[in-house]
Amino acid sequence: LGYGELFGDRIMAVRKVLVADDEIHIVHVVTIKLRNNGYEVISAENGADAFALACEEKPDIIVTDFQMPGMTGVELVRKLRQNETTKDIPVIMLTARGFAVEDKEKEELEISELLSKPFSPKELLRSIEDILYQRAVRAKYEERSVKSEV
Amino acid sequence: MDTNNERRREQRLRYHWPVWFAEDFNEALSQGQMVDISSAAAAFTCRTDEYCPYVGQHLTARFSIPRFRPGEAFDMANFTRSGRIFRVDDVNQFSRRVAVQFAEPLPFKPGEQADSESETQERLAAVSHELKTPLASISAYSEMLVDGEADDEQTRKEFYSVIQSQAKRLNRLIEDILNTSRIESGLIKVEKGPVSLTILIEEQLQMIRSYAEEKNIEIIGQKPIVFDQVYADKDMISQVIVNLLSNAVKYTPCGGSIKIETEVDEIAGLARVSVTDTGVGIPEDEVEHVFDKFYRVGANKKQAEGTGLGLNLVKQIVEKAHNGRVFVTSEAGVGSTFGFELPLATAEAVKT
Repeated sequence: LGYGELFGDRIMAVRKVLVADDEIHIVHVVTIKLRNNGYEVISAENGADAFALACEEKPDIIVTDFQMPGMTGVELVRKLRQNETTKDIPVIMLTARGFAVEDKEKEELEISELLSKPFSPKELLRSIEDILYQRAVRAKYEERSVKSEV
Repeated sequence: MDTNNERRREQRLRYHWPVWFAEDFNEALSQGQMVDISSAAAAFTCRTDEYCPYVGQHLTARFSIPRFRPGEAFDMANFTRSGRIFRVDDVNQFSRRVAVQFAEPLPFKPGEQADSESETQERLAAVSHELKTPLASISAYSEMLVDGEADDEQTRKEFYSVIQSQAKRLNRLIEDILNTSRIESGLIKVEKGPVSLTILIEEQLQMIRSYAEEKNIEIIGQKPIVFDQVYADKDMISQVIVNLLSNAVKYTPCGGSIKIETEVDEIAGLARVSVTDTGVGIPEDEVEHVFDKFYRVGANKKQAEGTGLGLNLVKQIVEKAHNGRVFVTSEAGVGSTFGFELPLATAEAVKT
């Protein structure tokens, strides 16, 4: 089932991804990979900016690094989850620290995926697509079940 | 009777450490230092189980550390190995074991206590992050090139140059880690000769310029000094200078400036280099720790770069290998000055 079939004749909006990493080369490479594949990309170099941008732009998904100046990726996700407009945005976390996040924390904060650096842009794209697709299917299913109840 | 005595004498001979070693050993013990006795063990080997107090082990190397209660020698912690020699890893492992053995803290020397588990984990994570971050760029950009994600020649060139610069960055880091270990373990040979500081600084500035330009940081150079030769190891002092300069660039916000000054104090027989930045500065209570190994200023801890090794390496090179002195002054929010003093070539030459 592709997006087209799933949403019938409705035109799919371009998906917006927020990339947060203080390493500019990483932001750059992820941005190019995603833009080449039809995504809109916005970016931030630290947790605080990422949070502000997430509230303002309501991205469909966030890719964040763990280690950033000021606020860690985990602290960022915690803030996102406590905020009404951002609490449901899926998050993929990148880390070069080996063992930055424990499973318990990952679950609690509803982090969709942890990818360790060095990472493959291809795999990151695939993860983003999987997560967004699953979300779309779930949303469609929920919509249908609401309709059938009516 | 006689045979018994003779046997005992023989045993005693076998178990006696060589005299030269005993002297070193006693002196080290009295100063509370660690002692590696593997070299002596090479001259003294338990050949049979009968003679060896460690039954079943062919003991060839042994390592002992005196443990102290505050002020007094308390007992010895021993570490034995049946291989021929101790390697640096063994010693590290040993120190860790001994640290664990202590039911109560009995420091060998003030300030050298073992870290807590969470501190060690934090350090490992920080080192991992440092090494893997440039590797992540190298790997991601290569994949993009292979997958044909770079559309035009200009983008491809840009990708290649990121790979190149990140490989250099990774190499620098590995060098830092290796150099620190080498100096610490005493493996490195210090090859001193007359060295011109101005020339060294100029060489290192070439390397740092593009990094500074990326952040639009102005570098205020020095006026050439006629006589600025110090008696030092050229490669090591280059390392010191590059560490100070790259730190200054790293912690100075975009649009700031860095000033490099060299002064010569002929009366004291010293040359002094200082690097002043307009960076974030260091809080007063943290200034004294910045040269400590793996120490990172609280506010910078989560920042991408920094192993906490760079400044420690600077201190070790200047003070341990060159009898110089490092210094730092800083004001939070205004900037910092880091620098070092080395003996002038003439002064050192007269002494030796």
